[in-house]
Amino acid sequence: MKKKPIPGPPRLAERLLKRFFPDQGIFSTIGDLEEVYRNIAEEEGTARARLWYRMQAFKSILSYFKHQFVWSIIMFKNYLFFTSRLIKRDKFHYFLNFLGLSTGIACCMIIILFLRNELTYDQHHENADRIYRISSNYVTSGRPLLYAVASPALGPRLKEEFPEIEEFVRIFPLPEMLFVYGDKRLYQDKIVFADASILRVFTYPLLQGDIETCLKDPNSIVLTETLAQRYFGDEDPLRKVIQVENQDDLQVTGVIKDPPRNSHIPIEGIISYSSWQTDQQSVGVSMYEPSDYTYVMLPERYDLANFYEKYPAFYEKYCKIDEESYGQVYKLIFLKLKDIHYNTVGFRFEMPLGNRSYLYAFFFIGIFILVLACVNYVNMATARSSTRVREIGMKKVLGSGKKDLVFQLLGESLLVSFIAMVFAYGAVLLSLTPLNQLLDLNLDNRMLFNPVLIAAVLGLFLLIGIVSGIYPAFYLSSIRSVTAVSVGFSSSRAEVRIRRILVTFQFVISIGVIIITLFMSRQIEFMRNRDLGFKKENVISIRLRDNDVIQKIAAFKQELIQHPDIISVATGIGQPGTPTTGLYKFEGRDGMEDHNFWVLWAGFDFIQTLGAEIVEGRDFDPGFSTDPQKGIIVNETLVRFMGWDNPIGKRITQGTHTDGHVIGVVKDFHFASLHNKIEPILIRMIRGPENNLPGSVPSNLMVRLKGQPLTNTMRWLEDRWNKFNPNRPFVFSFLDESFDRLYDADRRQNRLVEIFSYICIILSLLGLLGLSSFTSIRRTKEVALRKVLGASATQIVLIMFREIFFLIVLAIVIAIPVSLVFIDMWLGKFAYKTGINPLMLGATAIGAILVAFLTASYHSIKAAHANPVVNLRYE
Amino acid sequence: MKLLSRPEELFLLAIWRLQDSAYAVTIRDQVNEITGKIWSFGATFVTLERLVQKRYLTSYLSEPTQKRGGRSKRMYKLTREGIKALLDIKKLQENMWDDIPRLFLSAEKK
Repeated sequence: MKKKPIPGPPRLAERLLKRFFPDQGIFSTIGDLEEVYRNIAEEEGTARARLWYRMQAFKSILSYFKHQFVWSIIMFKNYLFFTSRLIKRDKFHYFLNFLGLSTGIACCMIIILFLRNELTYDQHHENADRIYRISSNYVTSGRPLLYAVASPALGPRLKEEFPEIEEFVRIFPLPEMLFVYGDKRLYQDKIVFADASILRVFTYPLLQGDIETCLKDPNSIVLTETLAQRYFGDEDPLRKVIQVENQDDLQVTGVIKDPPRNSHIPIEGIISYSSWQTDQQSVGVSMYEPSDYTYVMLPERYDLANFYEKYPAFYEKYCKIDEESYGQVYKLIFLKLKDIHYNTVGFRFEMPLGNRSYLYAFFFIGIFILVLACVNYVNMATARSSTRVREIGMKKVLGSGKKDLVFQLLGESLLVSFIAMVFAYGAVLLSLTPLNQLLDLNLDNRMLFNPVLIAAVLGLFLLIGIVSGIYPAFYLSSIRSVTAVSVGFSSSRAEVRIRRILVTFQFVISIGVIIITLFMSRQIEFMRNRDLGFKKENVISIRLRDNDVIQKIAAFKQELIQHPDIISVATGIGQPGTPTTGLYKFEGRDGMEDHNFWVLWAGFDFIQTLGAEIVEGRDFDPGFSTDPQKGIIVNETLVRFMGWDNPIGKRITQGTHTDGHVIGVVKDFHFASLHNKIEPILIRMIRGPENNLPGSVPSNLMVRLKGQPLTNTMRWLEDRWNKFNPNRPFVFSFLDESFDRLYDADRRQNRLVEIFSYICIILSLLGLLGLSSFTSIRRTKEVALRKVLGASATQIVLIMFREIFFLIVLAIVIAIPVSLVFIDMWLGKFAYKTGINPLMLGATAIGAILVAFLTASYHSIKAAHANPVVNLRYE
Repeated sequence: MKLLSRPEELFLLAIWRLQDSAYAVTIRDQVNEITGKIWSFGATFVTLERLVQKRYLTSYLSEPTQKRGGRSKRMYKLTREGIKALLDIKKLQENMWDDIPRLFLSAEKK
């Protein structure tokens, strides 16, 4: 016959056929096909045969799928139909279910958003792994003195000495500045001086301008998109000139994309470093004068040990000369870029940092809420089992396998959680903006459409659907069909116990959270009302950042003091709440000692304006002409720290240019937040224009008023201000408000826990509702019998409540110690704190019992008023 | 008495004719030949499977052959019920046909 062997049928088609028609591994069908294939091949050629074979495969597989699909649709329709009928019949329960699950999912979504935002801090920089910030440790008398910043000379010097350092960047954040372009005049913060290398080291994609030249020349500025848009609208921003007060005009040389907000250095504009100082100037600065955030980019997998090995030589060359005069040993601290946001080193001049415990709290809250929501679903699903058993039993009788039932029930919970997810998505979309403001979260709306988040939410939905569905699914499907269709089905004891444990657990969480919330707000209230040692009320702090007024400050003060409502006026640098620090020499028992204490700079009448009290010596006095140069006031803590018996007249010096002595002792007052104990502080005078001396200038003017600040007084003040300088806006703050702002983080936490507690309360009440409905169904007959035997409705409600009452008492007993541990931890960061109030605990407990009673009574009253005849007639 | 459908009858007859060499390929060829139209494999298998379910056919596996890529054939054989069903339907048809020539064919001749 034929000599040439016929090639076999197409491989792929054959493999597919084998896959879809396994035929117990015999493949006789496929054998048939192959035989025909060979016949065709012999008669009409291989090509036709192969085509035919492929067609056969295609046709059979297609119909296989069609089959599968049609049947699964039919089944799915059936399931959907069942579920929708259930939902219709049990609207109330399903509503509670949706509510609980949606809340849970929505919370989790927000938490996912938050965690994602927090955990990706600074990670948008492509070289993030290789960028280190170099911070300074000036070892003073054996104790470390840590600064986040370093000398401007450090960067260039390091690059000279260490060839492995690829780039260095110095960043100096500027205080708010007034930008003027055309008729737009705005105070602008988040502006920095930075080396041109910032654009190469960090990832700030340039939209316009040239990366090599845009930050080269002095007085160049690179703006973010948003800022450029704000000043120039649709005009081309390049080469536009922005006027800045007290500085040279800035020319826009580039525009960068808005950087993500989760960066530890918030940047809206970059001014070329050379606008501040030339390279020659900056390398001349001593290593002991830290001012710039200094970053270096190292090669990949660089071992820092190499650096430290060579550091002593570097130290010898650049630092040794100043070691003597500063009395400090200078050490470097490398911090990876990604680690900066969460470092707990406690640097001075640190950027606002994140708090890891906040993250953990958020994470656990997320888990808690999820668990609560799932527990609710499980509770309700099993509670409804008594109504479902008959359906399940009937299905079993009609030949439905256990597997089908599990799938059906799981599908149901997936459907419910899917609907809940859709609701949750909408809720998050709507609530993100207000929530951002409330909790100061800085979450980006666009993140909601991030594929990662969507994937995470889908995962969450699956997780919730399966976790909460799996127990009811297996539980219900394992009911024996005979029991199920017979009338007297009741759940097992173990079943009841599980449900009780779940509800108790929910109550432990909610009661605990309520207690924590209450204590937190109590502590915050306590801090607001505590006597700070000065009177923070009725003090206005006017911002001075303007030479015109500063030069005429004495006259301005004179003018203000005329007003009948103004008691006193004083200048200052910083104010309580925002002191600075400084290294001084103090007269000790054995000569002069170096100490780095807090410093407040003040003008005359400062103590009086604050409302603090002098306990020894005197206040600054214009009558003593030496005061601006030599007078120093210290607080009691400083006196105690130094062990001075007679503090007046003790010498305090700094470097070679300050030679002062103590003229007075002020009673301890809280110049910082109540997180901290009162520390030693010294108050010295601003020399400045007020005293016709060169030197520092005041940054703010504090005005004490007789009573509450009135609109009229404020208007009058503004009027005076405008008279002295019409070009600058009148910017002021109230001292008490800015002091309160020190507790913003705590208040935020409190608010967060508060919201969490509301959600917990809602969820656990839902759980309780589920439980009580379950109990009342389970005890229908008991209740009916009691009624028949003469029990009143009130008695029945009380009997029904007894069970829940015990659970709640148990929950309270567990929740109180647990929450007290948490409270103790939280209060640990405050130096001054409230005690624990047993009354508050009692009130919470009673409240919980009451609310639980009200919730549970919905079902028990319904049960108590049901007609016993209806419930007993089956017997 | 259960009645066979026409395709079923055709398949059973084909298998009877083929005796020991009745399997999907030969059966299909046979039926194709007689009816003059192409039966798809799908139709072949479905019909055979239905006949097996109705117990008119039994099947067994043959030794594998080279032509089939080393696979067995599923051989079909009529059962006693199958034979009975065929005979039944034959008898029925014969009964039905019996009178017809006398009544009409002659009339048509006219």
